[in-house]
Amino acid sequence: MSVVLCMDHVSFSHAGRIVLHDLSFGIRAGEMTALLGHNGAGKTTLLRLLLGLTRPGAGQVLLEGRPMQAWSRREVARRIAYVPQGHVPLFPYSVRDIVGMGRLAETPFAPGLHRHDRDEVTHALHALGITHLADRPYTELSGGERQAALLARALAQGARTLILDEPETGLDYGQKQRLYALLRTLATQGHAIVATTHDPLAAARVFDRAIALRQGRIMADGPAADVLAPPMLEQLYAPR
Amino acid sequence: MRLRGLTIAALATIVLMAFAVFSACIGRFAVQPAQVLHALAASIGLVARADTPQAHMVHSVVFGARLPRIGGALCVGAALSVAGAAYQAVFRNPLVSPGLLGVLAGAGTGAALGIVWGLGPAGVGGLSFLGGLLAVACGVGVAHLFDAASMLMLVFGGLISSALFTALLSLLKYIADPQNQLPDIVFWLLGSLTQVTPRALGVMVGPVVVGIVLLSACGRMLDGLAMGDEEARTLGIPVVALRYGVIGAATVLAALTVSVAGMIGWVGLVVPHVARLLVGPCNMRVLPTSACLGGMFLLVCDDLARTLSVEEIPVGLIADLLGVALFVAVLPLLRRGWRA
Repeated sequence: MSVVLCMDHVSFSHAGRIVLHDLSFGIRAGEMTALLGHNGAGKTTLLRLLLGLTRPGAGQVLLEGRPMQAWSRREVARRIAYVPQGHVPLFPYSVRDIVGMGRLAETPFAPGLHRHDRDEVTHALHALGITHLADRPYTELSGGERQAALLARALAQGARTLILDEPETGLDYGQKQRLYALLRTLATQGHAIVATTHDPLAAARVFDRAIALRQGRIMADGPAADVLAPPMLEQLYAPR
Repeated sequence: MRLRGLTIAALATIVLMAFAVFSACIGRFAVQPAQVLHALAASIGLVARADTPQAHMVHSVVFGARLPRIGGALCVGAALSVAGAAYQAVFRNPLVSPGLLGVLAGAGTGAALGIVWGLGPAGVGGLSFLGGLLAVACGVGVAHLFDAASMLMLVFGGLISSALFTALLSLLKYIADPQNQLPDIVFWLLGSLTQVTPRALGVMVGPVVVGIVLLSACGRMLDGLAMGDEEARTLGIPVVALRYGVIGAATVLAALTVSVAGMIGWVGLVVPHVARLLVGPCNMRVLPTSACLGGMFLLVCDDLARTLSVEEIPVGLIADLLGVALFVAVLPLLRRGWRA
């Protein structure tokens, strides 16, 4: 499996404090990677680095072998899609509008979506099983439905790498299972999936690989079932 | 979908034209709609020009006095409203008006300076335009001193710049000659379309149309911006460039309106809300709709300003009053749409 996104000796400090220390790893296509760690371990910073939203203090982030800053925002958006934790914008955009935003990198100035873009949106809505929500205001959805809309947007974006921030937050058991099944399908189709999670037990079952962060360093990186076995978990979440 | 958009645009244009013709008819010297249409058709060579004193009178009233004003009202209302809608999108805040970064205060100060220096209308307008741009540059500059990327800092910068230029305006009022200059300044600040000459209108039309088209073209990216800066960047939007580009264009539009018509503020806050009620939150529809509604709104205000009493009432005053009434009327509807 090919490495699509790669951290090469990356360090990052904020306000004089070292947040991440000398991280190196590669994200591979077709693989589901879970990022775990206690609160404040640097997961969010790591996601922002992977998304190219911030630059490392040392080392570099490589997207398809090229340094992240060499890509334009549009080029990055075609390759990496981000699924944030569901939040609510002020204005009541419909679910279709939100998913349509996934096509912004393709047609930023067009007055409307082209036929091809609309097809992508329809397809993404269908893949998430939320076609019936298409014309509902996003602001009125439940947490799970919002999550689904944001995932549909990521699919519509057409990127081969998906980065998700605690995607299971606010989902009930059934929704979680469906989310994991969908992510597995995508991985099988060759997508690279990276997700932060606070649920090591589910991660051990569902993900292929786990990267455990503790105080800004990689404590373990390997098959999820091994990394997230009880002895390691105790160390990982031990009080500092 | 596209056809529906075109139909609506065509309908809006027809309504706008009807409003304009109606407005050309009313006033001290009554003109029939047919006469207006005939004069218009004659002016572009569609029909032969009637050679009667009555026709000459109609021609001079319609072309000399009323049409420039009507054009001015449409341009100013459209420019302010689209600027307001753009500012609201960029700042993700429905309570933002075009004056947020100080453009109105700055333009008012520039105009007052021109009046105190005894410049003619063109000089006053020019200084006013520059004053508006300068004030926004100050606001953005202050934000840059601290944290350019932060919207909060931009808002603070705008507050500081507005306060500074409001103070300078007060100073100018204080030193102005109370017999001639002070009333001029006060009248200017009330907002009026009496000064709109065909030439001023000619200068204004181009930038206003271009501004509206450019801002509307950014509509979908502005929608993405509503999701937050970082998320917008992951969608492929060049957030900082978009923000400054849109602020720049909206500022030029707002400053232009002040330089032509004085301070007419509220329109830019209220009209975008009405537009959102009509066409939903997507900016590619909100921006042109705002422009259209804003033009009509100010035209109605100006008609009232011309006809309510024998003495002309400043249109800014009417626009503020009507704007407040409109805002109160739509507020219950708005609350449903917002998250709050």
